[in-house]
Amino acid sequence: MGNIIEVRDLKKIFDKDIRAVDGVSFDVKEGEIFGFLGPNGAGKSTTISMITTLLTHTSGHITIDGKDVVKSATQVRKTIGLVPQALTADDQLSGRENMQLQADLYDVPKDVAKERIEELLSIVKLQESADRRVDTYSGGMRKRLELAEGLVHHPKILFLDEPTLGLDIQTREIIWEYITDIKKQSGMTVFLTTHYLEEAESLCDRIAIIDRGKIIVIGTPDELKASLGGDLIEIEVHDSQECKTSLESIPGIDNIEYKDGKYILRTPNGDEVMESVLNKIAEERWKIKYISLQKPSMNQVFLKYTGKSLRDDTTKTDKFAARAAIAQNRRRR
Amino acid sequence: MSELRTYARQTFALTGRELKHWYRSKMQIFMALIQPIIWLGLFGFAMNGFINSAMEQVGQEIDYMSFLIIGLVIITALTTSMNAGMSVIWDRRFGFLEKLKAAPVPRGVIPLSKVLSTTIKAIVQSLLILVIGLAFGLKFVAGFNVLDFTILILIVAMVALTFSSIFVALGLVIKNQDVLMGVNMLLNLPLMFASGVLFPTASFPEALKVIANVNPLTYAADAARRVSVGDVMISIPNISLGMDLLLLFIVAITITALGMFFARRGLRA
Ligand SMILES: Nc1ncnc2c1ncn2[C@@H]1O[C@H](COP(=O)(O)OP(=O)(O)OP(=O)(O)O)[C@@H](O)[C@H]1O
Ligand SMILES: [Mg+2]
Repeated sequence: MGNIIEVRDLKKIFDKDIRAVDGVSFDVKEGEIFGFLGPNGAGKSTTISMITTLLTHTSGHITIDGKDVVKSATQVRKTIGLVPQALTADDQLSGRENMQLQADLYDVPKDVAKERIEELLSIVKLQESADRRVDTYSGGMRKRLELAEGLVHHPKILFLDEPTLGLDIQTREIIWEYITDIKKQSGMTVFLTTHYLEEAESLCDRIAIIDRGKIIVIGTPDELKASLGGDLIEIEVHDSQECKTSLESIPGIDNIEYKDGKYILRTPNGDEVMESVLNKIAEERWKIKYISLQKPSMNQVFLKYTGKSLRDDTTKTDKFAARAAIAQNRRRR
Repeated sequence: MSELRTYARQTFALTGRELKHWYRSKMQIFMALIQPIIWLGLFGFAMNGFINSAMEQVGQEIDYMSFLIIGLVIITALTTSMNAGMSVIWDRRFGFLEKLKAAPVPRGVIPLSKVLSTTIKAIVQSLLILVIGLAFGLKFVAGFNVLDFTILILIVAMVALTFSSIFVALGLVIKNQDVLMGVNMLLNLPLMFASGVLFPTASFPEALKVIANVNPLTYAADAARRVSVGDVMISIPNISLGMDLLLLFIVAITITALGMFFARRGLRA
């Protein structure tokens, strides 16, 4: 499949020295869900604004479906749908009126629009409130309406800026499910930004981690996690028995370290190796004090590449690593 | 051709949106109507004797209530146009403008729909003011007919077209509600008072007369009065109704074109 979005060395500098987007290049393949993962102020929304023709870039080049976004702005606008980060529905109109307005702006044939509006309203579970003014909606209802509005004209590419910001877990999951469904059914390409790790991981085919206006790494969630060096198995045995040689006989282990009374095994395939390790323990009759299997998380990936943690409930190791990273950053300056 | 149909649909939809806001906001309509009532109640009665004695000195006689009611029709068109500028700022603040800009809508359609909806509002309001005016003693000139009435409405439309183009463009260029509010205040009083809209200019000092004579509202009020309440009430007697209308038309076309130009620039930035 070809690239439907191509971005080359894109820059946006505000007020002469705010480098909001600082030389970003990437491709989005047709039909994939591509995610921008990054902390607040990373430049996610600014990038979306430039790709969706709302903001002119300082330098660089963007093509959408083969068309230059500056030269063929109107063509590009017909191809895309945008669900901005901010709530933008007209709150003095009803949900249905907002949908109808959107259909008119995109010139969706009247009979098609009628059907599609009802279908979308039911998907985002707003049929019952569709005739109420939007200023009586809750935040979650408004966000769902925004999503439905972005789909009225069945865009080829859908841009979602923080699609689930401020939603409760259930609604968030419904929206994830829905995004995956439309992708499967219609082959729509989705470009989304998020600072939720779970969202990036469970939804995106590929993720770009962006920080301070720069893309640090791009890959599938699995690739990114594998880049951390695989899974870790930690074993602590009573009376510091010597186990290293026996452990070394297990296939599939990259290396074994002995640290603070613990053996740390690194392997690309934690589940399989764990099974062999447990068999070995039974065989050798070791007395085990502690054993664990750790798979790399997106948070660790994020930490590795940005030196920052995005999660509040950081695990202990993450905290140490975070501190180390902070110290490292300080030294660098 | 099919593109024109698309643009028409978009314009129609956006104009409809504005009108929905308007007729749903009972408070806004109430305010728009209570204002002329207050003007007539306070200003009309208070100034009536005063104006009449001033006019006697220059050897003229007018019915100030009728004079003022037609003036208020013009003023309401002006105020409604100023509000259109503010509504542009709200659209930007609430993100609605962002969504419009992301859609394949020609940039000109955005200000155009604001201007069209403002013009429709101004026409409806002027009809209501005329009805209220009847209760305050508005007397149409003898022989007032459908053609005169149509011309009166066209004059209101031209005023709304001219001034909403100005204020919509200002709203799109300025972007900041406080600054626009300041600009509104700054323009509001001179536009209203340095014109023949509220007072006959016959009693004005010369310098003020000069300003009033270049204010398009003076010509609008004159033309409106000629067709509705009579020639004696006009401020600039030595030009004809035809000339009045032609001037208004030229100003409306020129200003609307300029307004659209600046509005598009404001949208791009
Ligand atoms: N109009 C503007 N003028 C000046 N600076 C701006 C402007 N818009 C954005 N910025 C700056 O650019 C940087 C990137 O902002 P952006 O909104 O793209 O971040 P983001 O990744 O979307 O963050 P968030 O997760 O908070 O939405 C920030 O430092 C912001 O202050
Ligand atoms: Mg953002």
